[in-house]
Amino acid sequence: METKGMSRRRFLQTMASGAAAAVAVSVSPWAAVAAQDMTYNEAPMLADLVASGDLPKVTDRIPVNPRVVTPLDEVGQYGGTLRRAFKGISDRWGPTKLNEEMAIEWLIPDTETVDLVANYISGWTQNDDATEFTFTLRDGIKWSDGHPFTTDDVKFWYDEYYMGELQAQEVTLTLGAPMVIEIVDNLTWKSTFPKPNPLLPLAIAKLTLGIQAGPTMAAPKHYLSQYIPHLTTDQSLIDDAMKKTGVETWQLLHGDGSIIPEGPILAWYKNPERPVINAWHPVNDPSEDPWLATRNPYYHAVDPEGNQLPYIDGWTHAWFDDNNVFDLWVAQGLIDAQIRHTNTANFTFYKENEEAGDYTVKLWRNASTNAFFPNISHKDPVLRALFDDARFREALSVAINRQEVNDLIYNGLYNPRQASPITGSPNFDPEFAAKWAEFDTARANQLLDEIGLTARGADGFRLRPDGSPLVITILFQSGFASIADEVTLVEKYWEDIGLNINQELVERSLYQERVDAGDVDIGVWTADRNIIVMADPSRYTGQQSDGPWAPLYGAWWSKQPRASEEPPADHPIREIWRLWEAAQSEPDEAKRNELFTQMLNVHKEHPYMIGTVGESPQIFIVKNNVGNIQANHVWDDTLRSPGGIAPVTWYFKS
Amino acid sequence: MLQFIIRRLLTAIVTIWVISIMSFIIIQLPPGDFLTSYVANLAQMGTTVTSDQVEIMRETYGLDQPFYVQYLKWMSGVIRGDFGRSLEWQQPVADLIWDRMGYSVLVGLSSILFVWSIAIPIGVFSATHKYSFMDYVSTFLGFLGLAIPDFLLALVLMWIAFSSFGQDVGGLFSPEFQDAPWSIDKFLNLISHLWIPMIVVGTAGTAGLIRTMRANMLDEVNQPYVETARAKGLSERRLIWKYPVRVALNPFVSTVGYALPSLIGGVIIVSVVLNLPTIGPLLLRSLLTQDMFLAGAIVLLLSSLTIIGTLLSDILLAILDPRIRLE
Repeated sequence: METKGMSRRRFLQTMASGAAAAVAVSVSPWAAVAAQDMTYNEAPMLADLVASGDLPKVTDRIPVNPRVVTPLDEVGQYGGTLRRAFKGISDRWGPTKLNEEMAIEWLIPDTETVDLVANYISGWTQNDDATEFTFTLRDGIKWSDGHPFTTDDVKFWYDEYYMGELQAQEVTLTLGAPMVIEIVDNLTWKSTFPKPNPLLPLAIAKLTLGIQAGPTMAAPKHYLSQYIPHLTTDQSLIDDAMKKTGVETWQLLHGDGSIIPEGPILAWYKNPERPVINAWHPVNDPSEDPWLATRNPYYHAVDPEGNQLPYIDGWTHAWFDDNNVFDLWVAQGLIDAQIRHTNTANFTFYKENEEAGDYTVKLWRNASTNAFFPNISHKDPVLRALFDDARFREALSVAINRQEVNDLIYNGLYNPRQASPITGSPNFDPEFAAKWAEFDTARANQLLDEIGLTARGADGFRLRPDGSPLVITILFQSGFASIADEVTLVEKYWEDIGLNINQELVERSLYQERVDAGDVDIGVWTADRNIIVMADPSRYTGQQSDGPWAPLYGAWWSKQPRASEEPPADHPIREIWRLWEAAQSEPDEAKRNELFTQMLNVHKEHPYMIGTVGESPQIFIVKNNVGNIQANHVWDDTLRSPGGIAPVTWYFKS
Repeated sequence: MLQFIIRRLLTAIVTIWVISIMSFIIIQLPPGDFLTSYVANLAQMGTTVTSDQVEIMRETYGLDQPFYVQYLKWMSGVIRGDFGRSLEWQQPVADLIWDRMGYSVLVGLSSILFVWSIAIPIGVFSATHKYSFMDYVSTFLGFLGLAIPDFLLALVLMWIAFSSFGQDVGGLFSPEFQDAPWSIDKFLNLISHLWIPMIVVGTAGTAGLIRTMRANMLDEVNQPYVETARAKGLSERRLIWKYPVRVALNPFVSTVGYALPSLIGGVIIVSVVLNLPTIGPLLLRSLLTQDMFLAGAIVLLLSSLTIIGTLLSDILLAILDPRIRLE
């Protein structure tokens, strides 16, 4: 058996080097550092509890081999409450991403690297064909109520939530066939798959396996089994909980039977009593303002000097509805560290108030490019044929003056580029990034003539091949900063090459409704998730309907609950799917990368997503007294940002 | 009188019932349902959902059932005092709305007091000093208040509070008092925050009321009974406030019923901008996500308030104006 990633695996190089980074694998010896001869310290608030006898000693609370997290700059100090803001339960992602605990996590130790690291497990191994993974829990790890966390909890999760009646897992992720779990001893279990599943560690890090409410692949049996009829001895507990939460069936206490189980008993962010392994656990309900959390005395990680993490005692999330309020809070210095909900358009405002609010504006980058998505699965056969014609898309693409878009609308802060993996991604390809991105109106006109769109109407615009007026509507929603200005500019560029373009600005949910139905000519969205593309290539497979380059085909392939249509047998999109499916189950890393590159090359050959400007800045507001936060890095959902930069090591300087 | 109240109560119940049906229909009118927006939200966060899963959820929440079944299920709960469960929050609706309702009533009532204490004296003054300089000034200010969009005024006031006074903005409490038990300090903190919503919500209403009051007064001050009173030697102040003002107040009283719900439901945008922990932002959010039980419960409450308000104003009017009782 190949021992891979027994501890930390240098997953890829990103950022500063700027070069197309190789996927470098290195095994660093940190597991050995987590040695027994370390002496452990704890937060003063916990030391008081230990002194009064209300809490066991720190050595009895943490695993014998705790995870050692190296802070970015320096060992921190204990204390303080991190003040942040969110928009209520539907916006829980900000708070929960601070707290996610996956078996395997991203670790972003400096601005140049992204690692995969074992979190609540001490390590994992996998066999050569990636069909069997062995995970080992940290010895002595405990839930936040002090109860031991063992493979019993893994088995419980597997039996009840993964396979059982409460099934809520995305089985599709495990390649259509469910994972099989075998418990070896109270620390070790094996996960096996009928087919190779080499991307499992990525899937875990990206949190697509396991209960999103965390941790992945485990659930606190001693607590949750009380709320499952065939495991409990006290039915009245279930009845009381159902009454209190107003649910009609006991299953609903856990989840609604699918997708993300967010039942009021199961989801830790809705149930302060539910034991967790998170660094902080909530003390009140998220509908209360502010929402508060406090440290978990049993958290399983320490810093290199043996100080139990996290440094910060707890967090609060104040509730706001309007972004102006949030911006004023920032200016007043009421936000300690937050990247979600900051607005690039307000860059000047944030900078003006830096001194008054005693914070620093850090500029991170988004792993995305603004893009226009011509719908190749259009219901109108004429438009479908046009959009599916590479020459037409090239004409649309080269007609755009990207430099002007960047200068006029984004103060030159973005980068003119094609929709493709961003600089620093292991899949970054300068050719792809520059494909069809050179402004050339003459070429665009020539291409359109070549297609046969030569006849023009009385208004001077080109006619469809069938002789009727060719009118194309750009559908967009206002959620992205300054996007309406960009659409207007692009509309002008396309009119310059004789196309009659309309724009239609709609409310966000109507946009979703329209693209889901495939009822769109050209949609506008960001081509995001473009840093570790292999962890989530859904932009490229056409699964994401908000970037509707092939909404009907994508829905057909991923069996999504919306309008769908099977693409023609010889359509290149089938090649994209074939290559991705092959890459997904290719255990050999080099071959896998090759297959994946081939898949991206289908796009590169004749881009379906017409990117304009990208790698946009994302503002990170950090108070000057908060330490250990990167000056710049990539902000992306795949990285679970900011979870990947170890919020447990953030601290308040005294 | 008693018969009058009973008859009014019965029609009120029927009206509320009709409104509940109407609001339930309207909430469901937009395309899709709660799950559509929920699934879209998940997709954006990188979670893909299959049709089977959505079907299971739809069944679990009863969203696959015909409209009238959903309505009857909900209504049978409402009659028993159970307003159903918010799909988004996964909590009983009642847990979510009562706190916010309290703050809504607080903001609403303080605004009404603000409006009346300003509008009535100014209206009376304008009428008695018709076409004077101060009449024009107050009329001008009143129209200005009416014309400025209230959310804009809210933003401007917040900015002034922030930049000139360094006051923390948004909400009704400073962070340190948010979760604290009630105390004198917390109350004072509340007062220091309440003035912005009070003014913002009040200004638009003030202008309208000044105009109404002025017009009503102008109708009354030339009536023979005023002349008579004046001829009998009553002091001008006593005369004005005792007779024509009382009569001119009639329209105020008959519209007090609308004041309550419009102050709670009609200032949603202001509440959103000012970050008030009131019912408005919750209603907006629930409508956007098509969380129909939450939205339905709020709409039902607001319409009940309107109807109760109207009933109250009818009764008040009857007390205030003996002529009405005869009908």
